[in-house]
Amino acid sequence: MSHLGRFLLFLLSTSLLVAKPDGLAIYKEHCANCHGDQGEGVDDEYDEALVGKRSIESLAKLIHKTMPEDEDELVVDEDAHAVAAYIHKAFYSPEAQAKKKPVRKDLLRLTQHQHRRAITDIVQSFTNRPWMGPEYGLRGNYFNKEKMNNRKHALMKRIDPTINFDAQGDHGVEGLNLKAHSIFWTGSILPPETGVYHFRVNTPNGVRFFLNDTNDKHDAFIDAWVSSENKMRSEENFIFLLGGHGVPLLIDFVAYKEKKASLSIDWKPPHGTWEPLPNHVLHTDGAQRVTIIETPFPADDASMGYERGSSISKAWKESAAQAAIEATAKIFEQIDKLTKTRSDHADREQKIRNFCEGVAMRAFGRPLTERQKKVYVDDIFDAEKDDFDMAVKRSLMLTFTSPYFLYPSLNRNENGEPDSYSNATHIALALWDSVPDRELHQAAMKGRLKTEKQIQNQLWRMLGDPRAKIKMKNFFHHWLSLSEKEDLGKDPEKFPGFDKKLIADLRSSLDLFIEDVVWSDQSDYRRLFSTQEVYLNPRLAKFYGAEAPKSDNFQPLITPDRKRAGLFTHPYILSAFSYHRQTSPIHRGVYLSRNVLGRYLKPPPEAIEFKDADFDPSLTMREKVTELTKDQACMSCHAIINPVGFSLEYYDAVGRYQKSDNNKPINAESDYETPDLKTIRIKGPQDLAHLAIESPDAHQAFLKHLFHHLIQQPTNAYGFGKMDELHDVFKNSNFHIRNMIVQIALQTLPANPEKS
Amino acid sequence: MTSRRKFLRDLGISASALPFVSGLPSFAETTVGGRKQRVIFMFSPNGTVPEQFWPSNPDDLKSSAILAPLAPFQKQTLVLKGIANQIGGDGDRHMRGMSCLLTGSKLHPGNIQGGSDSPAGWASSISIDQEIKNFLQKNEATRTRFGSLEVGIAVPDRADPWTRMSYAGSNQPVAPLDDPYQMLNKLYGQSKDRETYASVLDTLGGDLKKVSRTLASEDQDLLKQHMELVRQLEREMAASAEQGELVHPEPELDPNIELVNDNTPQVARMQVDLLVNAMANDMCRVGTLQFMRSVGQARMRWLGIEEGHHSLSHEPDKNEGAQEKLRKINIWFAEQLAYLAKKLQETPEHDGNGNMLDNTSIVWVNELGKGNSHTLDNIPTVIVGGGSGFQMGQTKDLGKVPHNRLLLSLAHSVGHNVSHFGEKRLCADGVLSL
Repeated sequence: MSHLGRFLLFLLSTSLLVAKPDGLAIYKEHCANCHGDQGEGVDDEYDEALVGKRSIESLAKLIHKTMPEDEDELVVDEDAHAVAAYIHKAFYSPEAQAKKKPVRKDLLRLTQHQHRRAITDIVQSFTNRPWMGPEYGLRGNYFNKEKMNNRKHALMKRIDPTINFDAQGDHGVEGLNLKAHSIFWTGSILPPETGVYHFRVNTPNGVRFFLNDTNDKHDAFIDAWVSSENKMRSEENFIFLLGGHGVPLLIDFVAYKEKKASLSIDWKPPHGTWEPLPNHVLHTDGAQRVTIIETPFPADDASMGYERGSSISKAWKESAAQAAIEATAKIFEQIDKLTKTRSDHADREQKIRNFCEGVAMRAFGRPLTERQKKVYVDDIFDAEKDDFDMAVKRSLMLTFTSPYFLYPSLNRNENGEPDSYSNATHIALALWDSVPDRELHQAAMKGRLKTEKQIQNQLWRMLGDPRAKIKMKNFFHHWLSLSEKEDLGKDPEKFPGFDKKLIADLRSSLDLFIEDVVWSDQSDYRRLFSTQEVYLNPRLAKFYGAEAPKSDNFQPLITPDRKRAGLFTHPYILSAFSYHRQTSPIHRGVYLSRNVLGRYLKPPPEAIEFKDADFDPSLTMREKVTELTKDQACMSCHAIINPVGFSLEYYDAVGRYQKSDNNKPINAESDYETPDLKTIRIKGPQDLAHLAIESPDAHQAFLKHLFHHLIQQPTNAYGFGKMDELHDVFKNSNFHIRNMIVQIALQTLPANPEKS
Repeated sequence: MTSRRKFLRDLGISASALPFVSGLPSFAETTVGGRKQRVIFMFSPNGTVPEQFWPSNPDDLKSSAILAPLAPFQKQTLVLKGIANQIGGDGDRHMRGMSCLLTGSKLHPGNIQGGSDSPAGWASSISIDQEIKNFLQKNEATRTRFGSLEVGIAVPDRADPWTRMSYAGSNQPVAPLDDPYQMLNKLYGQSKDRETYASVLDTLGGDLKKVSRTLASEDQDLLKQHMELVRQLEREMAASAEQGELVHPEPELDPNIELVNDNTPQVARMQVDLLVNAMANDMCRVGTLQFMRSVGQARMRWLGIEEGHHSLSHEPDKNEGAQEKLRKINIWFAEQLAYLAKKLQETPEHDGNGNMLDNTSIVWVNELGKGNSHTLDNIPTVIVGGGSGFQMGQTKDLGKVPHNRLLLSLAHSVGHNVSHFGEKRLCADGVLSL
């Protein structure tokens, strides 16, 4: 190149430089000293990484105004914009981060919930999983007695809504011998969530209450058969039940030569208080005994914000071993029933051996390879020719601790590729936290799970199962942070009547509301925020000042303030994010901004704690929080947090409407800056609702939580654009929640379906 | 069993050095006559009430309202003032207070965030209980079936840096077992079924290996860990089978105690009984006894206290009602320690030389010095029992020393003479003069 040429090139490049500032160069000169070459931060300067969700414009504005620290005139206007554009692309934005660190799908083991449910379902696949019909209540069979131990004179059969019988009362049984009768109730209970359930029988007579194990030759769950001076007594017991797995019950009641005769049954569900056994969990259909693993597991890793089986520990390994031992013992106990044999059947051993193979097939989610059949069944039975029982136990224990069971993503064909069986396993985990049921497994086996349409049909079918409802309920509890906010107790002097019973009712109210939204035809996400009504029963209606519902059941009612907006103003949420005696706009604001509105909040730069005693006692809560967070450093996030929190100040620490705080009228209005830097006026919860309904960040926050809950993998592991893709589907399907469950499961299949 | 002389010879220390060596109590004691040195770390949360905790008369525990229950063990008790957690770094004080307490090193950066401070993850190195356990397990003479037991009482079912203080290594929290029935099972249960299970472990290991070969290298790590655990389980089961007859029969547990807040006192008793029993049968020589968790919200209705412990701990000093309740709560913890000490004292050593307390150090710690200030200085620290060889029977004011030095001293007390523990810079001044 000639000298002239070089000179021209030089001119050209310098003129370019002048025309368009070089973001990288400016960054290196003015920023990298404190922020590091890749924005990773520098110890003792600014040690936080430069990552976030601001737009280039917003970053430019910030840099123009504030950077470099103490010399903010050095980088302004176009230079600020160039730096902003550079860091946004190089490392600041989520896209840049995703490119820098590509995310992969982790190998995951079963979580404790999946582990437990999978074992239960594997065993249940050898009996019949009952379909809980729409008929609520229990079947009652009434007899008069001559002797204690017969029920000769059948009087009537009917369906009773619950167990609340009084021979002296209005029982409607004609010809009842008041002093000698018996009643036999059968049916099942569908537990609304997983946990410990307490039951209590109240009777002056005799009763045996069988639950799950209804073989009346076994010990009763509660045995109160022998009465004492016809005096009223209560006896109780507790049991661990799995949400969505109906368990059979049998109640055998007798009054014999006694003046008074009555029976009622109460229960205390997890998170609940003692109350009469409610009609809506009782089903007339009998269920089969459910095998429930009670072995406790260590809590699963939740460090990503959702539970997943990404790590193993000694405690987990021991629990897994113990669960396998427990499952084996419980299966062994009922093995003849499960294999439909008897000890004198000639083909019993062959049947049981086939059963062991069947268990492995269910657990691994596909027919066994020849090698697996040899290792998990044949070798064991051949080696234990003299001890058949031992062989059964060894085979089952090996299956339940096998990597093919514990790591569901190992479900691949012999070439290591995913296929229909892999897809079946994937969608069963996504919707049920369990293994495929018989129908799904058969579909895979018979080639009926190949096209997108076929898989979709299965998904919609599976959504009708109680296990899907439980999974969604858990999702909402997680999204709403209910598991961390279980103790809502408040100062009883300041809030008389806000007791355990009321709190349990509030929880039911919230669950009913969510259930109503999710499982209605529209399944419309927007209703979560737009609904003015709150589900109230008479106790809640009284406390919240609404007109009492006509029956004892919960009904959606308007509260007197007429300003509620779905989840934002549900009293459970408002109370959960409040102090013992006061509201907490910061807790409400942080939680709702992050989880519901999808705002990115950085951790606070310094630890400041709200100490009520430090403030002038005449201030309102809003004034105190404003005072506490007035620093520029605080306001970068509190400009988002406070308006959200303040807009709910009309609701006190137990979610009741209040017009004043500390004798001053409530001021709920403030300016709020949206992620795209528009300032809007927020006057109350309805404006928040509007944001949640309209804002793409809110939609994506919801979808992301849902995705994590269903799939347990980071969304980016499925491609960086996955969230946008799902968001489009969400918008185009009228924000249909159930449809998104189906879509998320479909879009994460291990094997691509054939286009139908 | 290795004789002392042979042990020393193996170490290359000549007999002429013997008098000097035996001058170090810990060194001699771990080797001579099989004195079974044990360490138990007991944790209670949310700081203490300093005015009620530090004895006004350093030689009399009765001069402290909170420590008075320990008066029967006055001669074997050492109260340490001036222990400070100076680790710093990510995580709020409760978090660091908990997860740096026994590790003495910083938390990994992470995404668990409390009310304030930058978020953090798990601890970045092994905790002292696990370190001592590994040290004891390496030597045949001090090896036991479990090495250590991590016992929890009313620990919530959640794994985060506020709920874990024991770490097997960086990023490896050890979950305390807070179900006494499961603990009983672990110690004694279903030996027949476990034997059957042990018989399939070999096959299982083979299958894991086969599967692992088909995986991407990032995923193989998990399976390798899994395989290692299978092998460990195999070894433990073999050791358990060898153990045979028990000197101390397993305790009988009341079969009907549900694991709920209001049953905490009963559960605590059961767990302490099981821990003492396991140690009496020499199943482990290291234990942790974790009451609740950092930021624990136990509602101690059995003391007539309705409010959650953590909320109370935030109340200012001038709130006398709250301080009175906190005093009661901490006295209750001291009583639990006293119960543990008494159980150990009542159990004679197998060889007839004294009782278990003579050879055990119970180290009572807390994640904070004081709840309402969240200070990590003056962490209330008490050592009970003759296991350490420290000079007991006093209250010692150390001024302000990094708690790493206490952890280091405890390592040395069992003969594990490492140069530092946790953060090196905080161990610059070596072991404490105790």
